Amino acid sequence: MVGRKKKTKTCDKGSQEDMISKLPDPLISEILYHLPTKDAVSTSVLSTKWRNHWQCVPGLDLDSRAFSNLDAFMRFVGGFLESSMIRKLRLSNHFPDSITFLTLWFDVLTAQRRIQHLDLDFAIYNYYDNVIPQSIYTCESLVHLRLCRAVLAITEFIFLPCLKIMHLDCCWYSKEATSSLEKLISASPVMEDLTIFNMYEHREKVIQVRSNTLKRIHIDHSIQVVIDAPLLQCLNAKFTKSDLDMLPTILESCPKLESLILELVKDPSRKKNTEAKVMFSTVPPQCLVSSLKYVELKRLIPRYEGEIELVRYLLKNSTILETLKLEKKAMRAFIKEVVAMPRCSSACKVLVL
Amino acid sequence: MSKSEKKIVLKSLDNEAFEVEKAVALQSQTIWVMCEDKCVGNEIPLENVTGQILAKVIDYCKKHAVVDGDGDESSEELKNWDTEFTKNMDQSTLFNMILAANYLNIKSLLNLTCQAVADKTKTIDEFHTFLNIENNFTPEEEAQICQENLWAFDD
Repeated sequence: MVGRKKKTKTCDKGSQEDMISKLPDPLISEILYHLPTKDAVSTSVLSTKWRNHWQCVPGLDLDSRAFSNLDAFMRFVGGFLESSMIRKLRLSNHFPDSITFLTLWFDVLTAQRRIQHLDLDFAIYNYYDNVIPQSIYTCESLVHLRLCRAVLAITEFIFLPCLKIMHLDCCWYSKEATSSLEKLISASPVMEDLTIFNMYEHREKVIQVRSNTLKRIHIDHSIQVVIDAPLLQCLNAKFTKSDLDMLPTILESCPKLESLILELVKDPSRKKNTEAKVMFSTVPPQCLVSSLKYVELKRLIPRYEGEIELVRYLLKNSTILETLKLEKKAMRAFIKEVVAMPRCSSACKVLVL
Repeated sequence: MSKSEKKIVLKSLDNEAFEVEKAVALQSQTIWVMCEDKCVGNEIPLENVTGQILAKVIDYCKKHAVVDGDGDESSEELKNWDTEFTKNMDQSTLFNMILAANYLNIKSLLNLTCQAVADKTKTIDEFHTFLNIENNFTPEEEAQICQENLWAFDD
């Protein structure tokens, strides 16, 4: 918090009086809910009226680095949770050996059934011990879950009946729990958004994403994935050349797909050097005929025949496609070839950005 | 509710009448309950909201009704619209919008307007200048409050 004023003159510009302070207390709490807790606490020096407002905010948004030691951090969060019912908890925790406290806090929050938004970042690099508390997996009120640098170690029982958004960033699971991610997805019957960034897992494993409610999937990591999501509207995924053969099946099982963003990357391991032949059936998938409006290709691989064929196929068969976007760094010859390709949709523009 | 009653009239505190589509107005839980209860006719008196503020609330509801019905693809556009909508509002407008959103029980609008105040008051200085709050603590009292939660005042 920068520069505190000692005394502020009222209405020096003759402009506005302090109206916000006149709001009913619950509405002032709503405003403070949108600030990091550190800033909310610092409003206690504004005036006598604001002295204790921060204590009634229905959420916590904290970076543990603001605290000098684990004990101070633990006392503040523990004390806050004891006296309030919160619906949002965002913690960036850099203290090792804090799992006992986290487990205790999450047990309380799960039992209260008020928490809707949970964002937990273990800002520690050695994070094999960051096993998230089990009570998170059965938190019935949870709507939005983001985990960063955490270890998923999932027990048999998982149930997240309200979870709509799941975001996993740099998460990891042990070899014994390889189906953890699939279990999380299948135990969330209303999930609409799934984001997976930098998942550490075993490359050989194919992940099955099956959901009747998912609308958006963003996977920024070249995992092998089978997607069966009949309501899916947006797919943003990274594929290696050798995994591209899964694309036709994915398009077949997503009849409502509107937006497709693909990033093609070289195989990280040189084990599989064979380039997959992308085999589309002669009858185009449903989404190409009735819903696909936007296609974007990122990081194009120079001189890769399979990619040109993929673009040719999409342009030839997508009836209502509006935009095909290519990266500027694509080879000029490639762009020239794409622009000249026959398009099924007369409204389709090719953008190079 | 019969399907023929597609429009409804909202009447502000200062007697300004706004005719709106029912789908637009029903984003307000308060209006929704009033309609369900059938305690009102086709004209709903809103005794806590002025015409000037109600016009803005209706703008918001119109925008959100159309886009929601259209599917999720323009959520980015909707976000930008929301930002523009609150960007130039002064303190008194935001104050009245927060009260109106709370009274009409439109959760997303309450969120948006509270977020807008939070965005304009990221530091204590901004709190003082934007909200014009008078500091009535003695320096000793202020020092003591800082001491209680030292972590929040350390930079």
